[in-house]
Amino acid sequence: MNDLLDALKEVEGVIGACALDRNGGLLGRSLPAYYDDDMLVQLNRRFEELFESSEEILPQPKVVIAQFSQTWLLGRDWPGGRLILFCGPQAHVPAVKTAASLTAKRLGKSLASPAPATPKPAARVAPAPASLQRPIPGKQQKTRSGIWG
Amino acid sequence: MRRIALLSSSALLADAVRQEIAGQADLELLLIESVATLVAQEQASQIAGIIYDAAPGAQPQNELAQLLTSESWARTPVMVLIPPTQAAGELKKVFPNIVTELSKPLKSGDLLQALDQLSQSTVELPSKTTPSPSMKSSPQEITQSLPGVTDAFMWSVSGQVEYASSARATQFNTTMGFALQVANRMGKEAELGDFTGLQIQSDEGSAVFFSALTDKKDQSQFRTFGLLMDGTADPETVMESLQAKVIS
Repeated sequence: MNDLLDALKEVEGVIGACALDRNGGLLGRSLPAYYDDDMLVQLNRRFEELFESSEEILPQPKVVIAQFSQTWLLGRDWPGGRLILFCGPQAHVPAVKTAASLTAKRLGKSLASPAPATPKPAARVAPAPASLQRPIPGKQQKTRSGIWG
Repeated sequence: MRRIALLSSSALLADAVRQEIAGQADLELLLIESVATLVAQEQASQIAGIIYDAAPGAQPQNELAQLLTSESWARTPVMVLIPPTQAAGELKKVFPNIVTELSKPLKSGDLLQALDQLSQSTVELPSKTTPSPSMKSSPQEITQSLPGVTDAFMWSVSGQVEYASSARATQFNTTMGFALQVANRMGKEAELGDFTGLQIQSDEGSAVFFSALTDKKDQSQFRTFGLLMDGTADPETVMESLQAKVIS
């Protein structure tokens, strides 16, 4: 699980990712320590609300991207739950979507095949990159205009 | 024969309306208790107009609003009967199809006049041009120039629909309002910065919302855009094209 999530960081601009099960439980993570487990579970609840409300305008949404001034998040459903990717401004949206789609398929396959009888590795936590440190109050953050611009 | 659907569960109101239109041979009043009944029993093409009773405890506004976003009912004119405590302006935001309104209690003679207006009205799909003077092209030109875009909407900073290529704007408005609240909370809880846009993708197509200043020198020119695309469109390409056309 964590190997698949680690691999996502090879895509330019992807900061990390986490995977959650259908009940919102955290299955794995490869993210800076800045994002604690509780925050990821809460983020997933928000994604759940976004997916549910999106149903009204686009049936069966598979991907939801929420863009913020400092980063953007991609939520993608997979058979066992949801994958959430954290991306910096420089990440290329189509490339990240493709990577998320492949990883979702692989996660689905890994669930379908019997797990090897090895101890589950601890979740890996990497230090936060400079771009994701908590914003300094009063300091102007450089942001992009628009959602993809 | 003009067939008018009165959407109300009030027998008193139905009696009052019936008495008012008695003798009008070309008017047929249908008392319909719910939107579901209206859809099940009637075809939009057979209904000259809908009278919506906005009294407390009336049929949920959102059900009717939802119906009026459908292709077949989008051009059906609506008359609202407004309680003394309610303003028509608020209802017009929910029902773009309102062509006339009457305040309650109804006055003799006013109803017939309003019914004439109702049954003779045609509803044009909302489509306003160039509300933001700083934009390089009109919304219609922009929509038509973006391949794969099926619906386009633009909201002002106060949330008013300024441009809609179809009557689905109400549905989009409701969904977007909720989604924006959720995304804003998400941004604050995880300290992700200000929320700036949303993209939704399914097998059928994509929907995108984003906010931008159409004139970077004028803070009043803040607009939110919503686009619905079919499966042939590439959302990123469309977004880039749109931004190039609207931001000066």
